[in-house]
Amino acid sequence: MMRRVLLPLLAVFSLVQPVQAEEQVATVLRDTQLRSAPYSDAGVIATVKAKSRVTILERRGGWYQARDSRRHTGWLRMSNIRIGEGGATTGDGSGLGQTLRFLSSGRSGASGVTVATGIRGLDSADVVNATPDHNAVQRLDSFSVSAAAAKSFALNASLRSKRIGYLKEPE
Amino acid sequence: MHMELSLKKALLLPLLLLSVLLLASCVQGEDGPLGKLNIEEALQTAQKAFGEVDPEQEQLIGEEGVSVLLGAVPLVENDPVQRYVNRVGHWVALHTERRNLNWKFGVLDSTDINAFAAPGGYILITKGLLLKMQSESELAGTLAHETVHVVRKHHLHAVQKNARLDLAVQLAKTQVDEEHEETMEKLSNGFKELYARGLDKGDEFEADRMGVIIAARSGYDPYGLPAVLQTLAGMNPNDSSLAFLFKTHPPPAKRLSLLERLFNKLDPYARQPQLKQRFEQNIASLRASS
Repeated sequence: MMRRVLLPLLAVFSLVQPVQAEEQVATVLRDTQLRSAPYSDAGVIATVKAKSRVTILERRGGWYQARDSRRHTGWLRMSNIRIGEGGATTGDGSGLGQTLRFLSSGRSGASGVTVATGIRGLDSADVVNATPDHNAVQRLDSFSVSAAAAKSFALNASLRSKRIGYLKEPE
Repeated sequence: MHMELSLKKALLLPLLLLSVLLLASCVQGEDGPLGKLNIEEALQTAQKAFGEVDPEQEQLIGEEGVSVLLGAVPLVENDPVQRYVNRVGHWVALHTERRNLNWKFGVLDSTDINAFAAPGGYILITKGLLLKMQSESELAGTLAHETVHVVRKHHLHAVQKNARLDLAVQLAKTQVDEEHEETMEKLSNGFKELYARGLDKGDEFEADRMGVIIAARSGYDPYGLPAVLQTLAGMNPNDSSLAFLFKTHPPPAKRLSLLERLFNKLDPYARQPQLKQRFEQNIASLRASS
């Protein structure tokens, strides 16, 4: 009962108060220009140095609006930055990290049961030990929508189909 | 270029198998290793063995794959969110070369960050990944990546290779049916092994490369998938919710650096909508309950 009242209320609340994405820090990969607009021919506001940190404010296409340490705000090409502090963010899933992850997640072996509340993990052991659930497949089927329904949902948001060929594998 | 090569491969392999079968039957007289086989039968078996199962068989094979994933983690109990993801996903799938499949999408009730595909048009995404996203274009790009695995039959081919030829031959000889327990168990074990290990890196890169185009074809800002990869690259790599993804996929930074070479080709579509607000409206109840 509470849930039925609470959920719509929360939904309405979140419309009024747009969800604030947590502020993201990014690392600049190479010396590059902070531009006044998300275009490569837009005016240059400042130059940011490789390995410096910027704060991400917004994304538009392949550009991020960012603020540098001198509080200049402008646009950076997505390919010139990596979100994160840099250095420690090259995660390759190698041995030591895996072990640390195991220790910190409190997973109890193959069952994938976690000690922390609200966390339901999923790892390879869960898949290997799974009993195929065909009833759940039927439930999944029940959520499918027709092509016509998908189309009208897309048109509601003014999504327009384009004819575009695939791109070749880069050299 | 790439497609041509795969086509050649697809034609070459059955021919190779056929010659092996013929050679074997010559050596052993009338009966080859699979009993009496005429050329027609051998060719049919060989074709089927290398992935060209018919759509009904593919659907049944996919059902077994998705039942393994759903046996590992249940669907989120939130029907509106499940429908929303189906509306976005089906629209995206209409812009692939297999628009007429029975496309089905689902959100898994796990805080882990991952997404999966199974033959026949099944796509699953975890709640953990969905909640990391900031716009519908990010969801569309991620689902587009997964549709490529289905369109290019990455899992279908891998699971057949994985369970070795005998499974494929068995599938081709006996119609797949639920009664055929042994075959189904082989199949689900094949999927378990495959999902635990992941696809070849090349399949993942191909899904990224084609996925951004499918998102653009669907009218979305094509930078949704690269933006998701940026978010993942920015997370603490020791975060336990990334462990399974990192074990089964190339690192997000590597995937990004390959996609970045295509960015200039995506720019004509960069101003297509991201649909941030519609995304937040539709997943608000999921954010609230997490």
